Amino acid sequence: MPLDPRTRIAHLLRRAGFGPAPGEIESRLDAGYDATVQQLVESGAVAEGLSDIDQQIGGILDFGDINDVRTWWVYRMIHSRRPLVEKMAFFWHGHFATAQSKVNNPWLMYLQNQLFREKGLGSFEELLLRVARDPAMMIYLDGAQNRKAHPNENFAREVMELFTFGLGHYSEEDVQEGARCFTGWQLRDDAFYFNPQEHDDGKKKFLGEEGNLDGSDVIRILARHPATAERMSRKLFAFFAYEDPDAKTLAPLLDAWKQSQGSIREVLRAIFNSHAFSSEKAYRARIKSPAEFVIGAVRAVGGTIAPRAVVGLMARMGQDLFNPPSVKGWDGGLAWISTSTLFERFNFAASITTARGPDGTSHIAPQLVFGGIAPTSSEQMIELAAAALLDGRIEAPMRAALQTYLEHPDPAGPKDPKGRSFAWNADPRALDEKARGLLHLLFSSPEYQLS
Amino acid sequence: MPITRRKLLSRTGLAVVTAAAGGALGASGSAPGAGPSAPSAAGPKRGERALVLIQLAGGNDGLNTVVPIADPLYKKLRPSIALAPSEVLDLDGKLALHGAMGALHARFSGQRDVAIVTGVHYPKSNRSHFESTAIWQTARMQPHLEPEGWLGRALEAGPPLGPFGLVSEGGGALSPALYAAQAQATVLSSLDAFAAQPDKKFPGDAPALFAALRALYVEPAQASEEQVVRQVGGIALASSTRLKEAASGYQSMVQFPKHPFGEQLRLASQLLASNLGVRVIHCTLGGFDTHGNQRPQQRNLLQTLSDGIAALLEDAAAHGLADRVAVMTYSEFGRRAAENASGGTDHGSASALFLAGAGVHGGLHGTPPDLAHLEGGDVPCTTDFRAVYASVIRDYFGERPEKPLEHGIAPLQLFS
Repeated sequence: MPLDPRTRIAHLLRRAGFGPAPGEIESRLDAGYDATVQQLVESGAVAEGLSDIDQQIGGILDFGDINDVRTWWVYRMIHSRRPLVEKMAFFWHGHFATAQSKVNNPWLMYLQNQLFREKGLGSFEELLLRVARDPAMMIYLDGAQNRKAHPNENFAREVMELFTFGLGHYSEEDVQEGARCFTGWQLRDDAFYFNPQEHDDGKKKFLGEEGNLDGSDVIRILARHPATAERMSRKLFAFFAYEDPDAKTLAPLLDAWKQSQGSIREVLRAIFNSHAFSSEKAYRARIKSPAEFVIGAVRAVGGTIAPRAVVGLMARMGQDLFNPPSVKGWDGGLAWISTSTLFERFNFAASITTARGPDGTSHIAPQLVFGGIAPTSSEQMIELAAAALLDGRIEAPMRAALQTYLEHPDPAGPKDPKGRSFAWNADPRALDEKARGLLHLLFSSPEYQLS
Repeated sequence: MPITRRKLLSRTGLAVVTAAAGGALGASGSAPGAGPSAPSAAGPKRGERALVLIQLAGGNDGLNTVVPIADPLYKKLRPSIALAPSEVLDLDGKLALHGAMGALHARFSGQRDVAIVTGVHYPKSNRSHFESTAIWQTARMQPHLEPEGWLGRALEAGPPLGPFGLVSEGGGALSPALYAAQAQATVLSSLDAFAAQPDKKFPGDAPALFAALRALYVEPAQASEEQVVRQVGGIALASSTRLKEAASGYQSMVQFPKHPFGEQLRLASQLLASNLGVRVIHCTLGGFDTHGNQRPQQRNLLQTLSDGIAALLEDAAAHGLADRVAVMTYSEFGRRAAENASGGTDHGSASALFLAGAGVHGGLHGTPPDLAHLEGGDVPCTTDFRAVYASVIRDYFGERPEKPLEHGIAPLQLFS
């Protein structure tokens, strides 16, 4: 069963970006689903809307400090008008996982992130080649130490096991021969440099090809291998739609890959235009990663939370940007959900809905989430909040629990003549307290943890 | 390693019961039987011993940890990174411990409750960090087919596990070594983080808010992902109160290393001393993937490890838990016997591991590495890691080792 138009747009905005801002579902609905997909995928057609800010914060942030680089990226995730570009940078960061903990150079981490932003929707082969020569990656997987006399196998192994076709398509000999091909790829002054002195010019045999192969031959062979098209299409589908798609569902993605010679943009277009993507099976089928959860919530309340404040919280939820736990990236899915990471999510929900400035005024206005409407009953408040945050799709027991909460007496708070703490016309303080509590609960709900 | 759908489905069911049990214990304030308040003349009963399992992530270089110092081939294979006799601590005249591990060495020769197993791994080393870690954590050669962890599996078959039976520390995701088909392990980064916080401006609203939050996490759900979110959330909310009450009386009696890993061990010690029914705590010390500039990096790590283990065991003893707490280390693989051109070592095969503490039969176990007979440049595996696991399961926990551990692999005698 296909999703209704409003739910479908909200679903698209969560998957192809970091979720809707207040009012965005309505404006995108006016433009229509197809036009929205087109705008997301043809990212160059829209101005980012960040250039002024980039210039401003460029002078304030220190790109030699990894927390500033994180802040900068989180800012982009929250505010860019090219959400799919940021989402793909996020995808590639997990795919070509590289960790600051080893690279120990925030500027190189920044440059790698810009590479994902500039090339993330283009040709996979071009991206793979650029990644193989990316200084942060070369440090992370020891490519920069690949000498003729001692080929280092780390990158040669991972480029096959993790970055392209995966286990089962290569032998240990391919790893060793691949490492020989990459000899001489070095870094000089933190930039890629080919050192012919250290390149092994001998004959090599890699995946059936023979000759004086070098690293770019390895990249070409791997990028054009049919098993790479299969694995990358599958991984992209799982990231955007759901796990374990069947062959029939993947077929249009593989066609798009083939016809475009591995253009990521065309594969994404095929995903978003598929029936499978807009199906009940895809709806709420994924667990939100900490970045999706945090950025989505910040966007939902109007983007008025300081990016710097949330980067550390994402780390505590298990996703420390620029520090994936291994070259495999983050496991994702149900691995995000543990007792402790759920507490982090609950407490993040508490902090963004209740945080107040020194003068006592709020960083967020619940009424903005309610679409500018001042609710006149507890039922209406639940309706408005659920529409904004959960597509209005909440079950009766949840509705009842929220209703009880809103009308539950607060022993310390004011009450209406019927003894309820929630008096619509009587006390703005109680209204504010309960409105914030309601958002806190919705952000903490099991349903909101799903995308 | 992602949790598979099969895993997900099999886990639904009992976790709800666990959550309910945790809530009842929390409400009544009573504690399970496994703790220092229930000593017995015959020593700890089945279900009363706890293991702190320490993952040395990245692949610890065994040859520079337990060093074949008397073997001339050692220096030849490692001209720049071999440790000099002045940099090691003698074990038996042939093997010596890295000099940074003085604290553990003192226990080895003093209390004699440190077992060192050399040449431990599995045949045909898988050199991928992730694959090999998964093999060690599941004790399965095809870990992606059967993702349950070796300890999750073994302990689930024994006395009932409460919400703190299996604890994974260090933040982030649950260690796969603790995955169980039905029991749900708890991930703990700190005590403060393991509690829901109300709006501080409206404390009076907190009871209503938390009642609603608990209500959101009890309803049954159709979608399976949502089901797991609900279960885990239910357990989290029920166990949080209980943890806070139980751990409030603890004070550490020793100094733990000033390092995030030292913090993990301090928290482990606090949990062990708090009567929470803890059976396993998994901690992680990362950074062992020493492809380059290995010497200073490994020295610092081994010192932190050794000081940390000694502190934990001393603190446990100071809390009356000397006969209930043991420590074990593991790493996904050792490293090549020869050094590389970067002053480091690449992914290899067998390495050494440590057991220390309650009941441990101290001394050297297994076959010392024979550098004259390397296998493709690797220290060959002479002791199957499952022989170590089988001993831990059978002799330490008093559970029955499963069949695959008995396939021609006799348990070592690591406990007296």
